[in-house]
Amino acid sequence: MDDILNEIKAMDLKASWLGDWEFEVLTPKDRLASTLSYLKLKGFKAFMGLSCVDWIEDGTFELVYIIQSYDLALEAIVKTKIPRQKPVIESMRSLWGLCEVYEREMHEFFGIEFVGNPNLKPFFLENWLDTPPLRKDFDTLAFSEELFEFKEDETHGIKPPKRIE
Amino acid sequence: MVIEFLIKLVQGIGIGALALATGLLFGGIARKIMARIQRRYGPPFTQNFIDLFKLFSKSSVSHGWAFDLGLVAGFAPMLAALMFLPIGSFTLLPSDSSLIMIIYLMMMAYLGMAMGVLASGNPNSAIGMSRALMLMAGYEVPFAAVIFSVYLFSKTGYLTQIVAMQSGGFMNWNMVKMPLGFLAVEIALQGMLGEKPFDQAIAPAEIASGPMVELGGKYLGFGMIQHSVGLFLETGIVVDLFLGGAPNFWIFIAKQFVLYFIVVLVDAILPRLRVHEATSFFWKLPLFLGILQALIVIIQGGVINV
Amino acid sequence: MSEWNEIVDYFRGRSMWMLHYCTGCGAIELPPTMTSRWDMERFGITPMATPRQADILLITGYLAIKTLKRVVYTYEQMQAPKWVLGFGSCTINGGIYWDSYNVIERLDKYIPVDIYIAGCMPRPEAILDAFVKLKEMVQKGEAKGYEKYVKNYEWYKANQDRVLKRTEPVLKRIEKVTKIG
Repeated sequence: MDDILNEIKAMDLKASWLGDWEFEVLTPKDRLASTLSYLKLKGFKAFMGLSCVDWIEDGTFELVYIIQSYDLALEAIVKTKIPRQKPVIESMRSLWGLCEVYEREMHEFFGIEFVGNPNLKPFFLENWLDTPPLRKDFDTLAFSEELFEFKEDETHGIKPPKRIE
Repeated sequence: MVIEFLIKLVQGIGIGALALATGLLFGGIARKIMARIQRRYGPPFTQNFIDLFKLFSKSSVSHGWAFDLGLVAGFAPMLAALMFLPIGSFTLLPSDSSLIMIIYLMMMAYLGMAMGVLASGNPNSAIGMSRALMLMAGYEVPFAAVIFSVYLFSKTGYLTQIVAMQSGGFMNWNMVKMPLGFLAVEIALQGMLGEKPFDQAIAPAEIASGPMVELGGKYLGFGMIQHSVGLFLETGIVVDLFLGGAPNFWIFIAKQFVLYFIVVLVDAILPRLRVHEATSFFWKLPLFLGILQALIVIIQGGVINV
Repeated sequence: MSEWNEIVDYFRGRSMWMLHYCTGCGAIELPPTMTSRWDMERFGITPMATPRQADILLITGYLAIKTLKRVVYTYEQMQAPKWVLGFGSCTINGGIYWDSYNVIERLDKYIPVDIYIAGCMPRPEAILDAFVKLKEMVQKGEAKGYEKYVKNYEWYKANQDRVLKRTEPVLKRIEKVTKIG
């Protein structure tokens, strides 16, 4: 078990156990592809998902790749940070075809550009023209109030709920 | 001559209205029975009349002339077949070949309906209609085998005469004389009326009620009339063929109701089959029973000397 | 003629066919309403499969912008007379999605709603209560939402287009207003 982690550490990457069957690897942006393909060679063949965290104070997006190995019964969480101002990263669709769909979703909700993915057209949202909605600097309440024009209604006596700070 | 024709016309309209009222009443009672089986209170038994009235008070939209014409072409043969059916002791148009005539017209009704609903262009109605026609290819085969044996047994296609041959008590009924054939027809009737397990054509949760998917308002009311008259016709022909007809109208509808009651009870407890399962079922057990019955009739009647 | 209309309204109230548009969690309250515990068929209300056949459109739960478009299509396919029931607090003021960027707040800005059923979730008793109330309104000739829709079509259409056919970013509009103000 531990030898995989030691091998990763020998490659100058930060890695640590998160639990009995789960470890995380922190990798710089330019070494992401090589790390993921190394892990895939080691048996992490199943791609589970790709998500994104918006660290607005650090000015970075953190991309989280979750992959699993059925033979070793292990889960690897590979994290990489990209700048918020220019979120561009290469697509991993050559490693796992499923990545294409997840990248399309991340492109829609965070505005991240995946180089090499030809299929980044709108996915869930229809006719979306504003800031990508899951970014932290997108004011969803202001958007909602402006678009749906929700104001206190005199005829029905329905008031908009107060926001909990 | 003209007066005779007018009397026939009025009688024909009367028969149509009577068949419609009976069919709607049967439908309402069936809903009540179904509710009681499921331990519900259920709608009032006049609910189908209210529904029909409401449907004709709604606005409706047509999908072109083929749509309108198809619905009429689906309804007219059924109405025509009703004229040849002995109802109680009364037949409007006695004919030598009324049995074949009715079977032919019943099939025509389906083809007319197919033309109408396919003109709406909805894919669900096309799927539903193809299922209905495939199911028809299933139940018509055992039904035809049994019709064949009745024809051989009675040596006539004149329905009034077939009814007359069964007079004189329960033991003379074709149901007793041809039990296997009656069983086959009873199963085919389940498919003809489109009740479970043979309701693939109008599977509401699956293909959004199939042929009726684009029918709305008055058109759906028309479809409801068609269904009710079809119910009357299809149970009526089985009563005439196997249950010995009836001396008057009330006994006739009582016998029809017994048949429909069995159909509703079976409907209440069985799930829906897939359409190819249903068709292959019809080609196995009921067809086997029908052919066996025909063979027995042939051997008994001495048509072929063994 | 008015007597005839009264008769028609009486029977319309006794036979209402329902199309349930289940987008949210509200769908789970309908099976007990239909089956033996509460049995809505005794009021003549039956679930129907397509909008063409239905009289009531029951909208259970939140409507995203994407589903609002489908609801408008569905509503316009139904044959008059038709009624809309808004079910749950999501259709009244957005419910727990009140500040969501993608869920509409008030349903009756886009299609006319005859009765709202408040609650999160409304129980089957509340649904049956709404049906009985709607029946009374129909029989008195008060439920005329579909006529309101035809009469005020421009207003409803403008509201629908405002949400469905956006041509410029929404938040830019606010910035412009604040700069001028």
